[in-house]
Order: sequence, then C-alpha cells, then structure tokens
Amino acid sequence: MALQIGDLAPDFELPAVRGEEKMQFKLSDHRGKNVVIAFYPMDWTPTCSTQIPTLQQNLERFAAQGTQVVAISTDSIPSHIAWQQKSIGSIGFPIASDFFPHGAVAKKYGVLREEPPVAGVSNRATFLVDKTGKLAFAKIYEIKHQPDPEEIFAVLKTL
Amino acid sequence: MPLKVGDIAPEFELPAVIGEDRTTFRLADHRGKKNVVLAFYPLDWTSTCTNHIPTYQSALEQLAKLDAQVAAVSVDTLPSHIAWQQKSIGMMGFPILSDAYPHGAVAEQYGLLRKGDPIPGISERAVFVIDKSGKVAFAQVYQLNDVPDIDDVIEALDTLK
Repeated sequence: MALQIGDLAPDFELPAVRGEEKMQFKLSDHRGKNVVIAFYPMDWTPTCSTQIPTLQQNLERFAAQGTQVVAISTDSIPSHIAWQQKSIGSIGFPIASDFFPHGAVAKKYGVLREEPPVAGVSNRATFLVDKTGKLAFAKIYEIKHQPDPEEIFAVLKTL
Repeated sequence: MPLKVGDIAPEFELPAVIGEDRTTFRLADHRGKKNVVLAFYPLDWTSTCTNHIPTYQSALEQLAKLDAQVAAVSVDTLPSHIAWQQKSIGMMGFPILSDAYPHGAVAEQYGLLRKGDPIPGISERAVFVIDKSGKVAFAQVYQLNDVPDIDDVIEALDTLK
C-alpha cells in the first residue's frame, strides 16, 4: 500500500448523500476534526450492507470524539439513495459517489481493485485522518471481512 | 458522435444478468441468428429508466416473433441490476448488461458516454436495432427524460423481415 501512517491524507471532493440530501464532501473542509473514511466495494452486496450500518450504530460515539464519518463506493448517487431506502435504512453520515472518473479517489488511496475477479470496485478499507489531516490508521480488509469499529476507537484514544 | 444507421455495430462483451442469473453477453454471438435491440439507459434507480426498461418486457413476445433479442445496458454493477429488478421494476426476461468497468467503455464505443451534467459518467438514453449482419438498422438518442417509444423499434424490425 502506497499510503503510510503519518502521511498527509490526499484531499478529495466527491458528490455525496446524507440520507436523501445531496451534498459535496470535501475532506479538507473537515480539518480540525478527525475523519473516518470507509471505502467499500459496492452498494447492494451483503458485507457492505452490514459495514455501513455498523458505522451508523457508532455514529454518536464518533461524534463525541470529534470525528466525522464518510463512506465511499464507486456507485452512483441514485444507487446510494435507493440502497438506503430499500435495504440498509437511512444513514446519518455522507455516502460519497466515486463514480466518474471511476474510482479516482479509491485510486488515490491505493485501494482500487483493477484486476479480476472483482475489477473496478474499491477494496474494503478504513482510514482515519487526524485533525491535522494526517493518516492515523489505515487498513485494507479481505473483501468478505467485516471491519471492527473498535479498531478505530482504539486509535482515537491515542490522538 | 453516436453510431448511425448503416454503421457496423462495434463488437463487445459484457457481464450481464437475466433476472438473477449471471451471464455474459457477446454481441457477436447473435450475428447471423438474431436482430439485437440494444437499449442504453443512464442509471438504475432513476424514474425514467424505471419506466423505460419494462417496456421491453411487455413487448418481449412480440420482439421474439420479429427474431429480436433485447439487451439493456447501463454503467451500474450487477448487484445493482439484480436489486433494482427485485425491489423496483420486477424481474426482466432479457439480459441487463453492466458497463461499469472500464467505466462506460461500451457506451463510449457507441458514442454515448456523457461527461457533464446532470451526472458525469452516465450513458445517454439511446436505442439501436442491429440486424443479423451486424449493421445498425435503427439508431436514436433520446432526451434523458423521454421514454423511448417501443413502436420505433417494432417498425424498424418490421422492415427487416
């Protein structure tokens, strides 16, 4: 993986939705807060349908520690909205669409899968960006592995 | 520039689903056997597309009698295509193709990839009839908000009988 702990997290701006509300998410707007960036492969797939609600369940704990959460996949905004409405429920943090140029932000973070069997989606990966914009945690998971939010809380304690 | 009547339709191969069954759609497999109705649409989960795609399901028998295979194409993923059928438009009896990666490569081959507003990276709404020799017999790009009239396709297929 190209990015290392302590590196400045690459800035990005993507269209996003929070629930059904469309917005832009720009990483550098959150300087002064910690930011959890949760990359996931695809809307409508089983592991992702647990990963994102798990972050939702912990949203107040993240907020209490001055931490913003954002999820990112290569799906479109209409897909993100329908996925919440018809599958995972309304999510209270932005879900960003890294749709076009396809996976450009995933690529910046070194997590775009470019080879079969599942090409063109992001790996499941979690990054924690600290208040100064530096990476405090970075982990790529097996595609079927469920990230444990306690890993992030453990790092937040040290910041 | 979108493909025109008389052009040779570019060959392509894409992953697809028929209902929930995963398959691969190759245009060349239909050469000499079937006419192909190729329906590009912008996105799963959007209102006009939700009206557009089921029009082929309603006309599926009529299209089969005219020796035509229908295939719909968008830049969405296969899991999205499956969920969209299950939760929104109902199960379709023809392939829905995923032109997700490289993003919109087939839409680009057919001159249809939109790079600006309202959503960069979607395909135009466009319908082609490709005859058994692989030539484009009908080609029309529609406004994103227009539901293509299935009769346009039926008329074009009638002339190929």
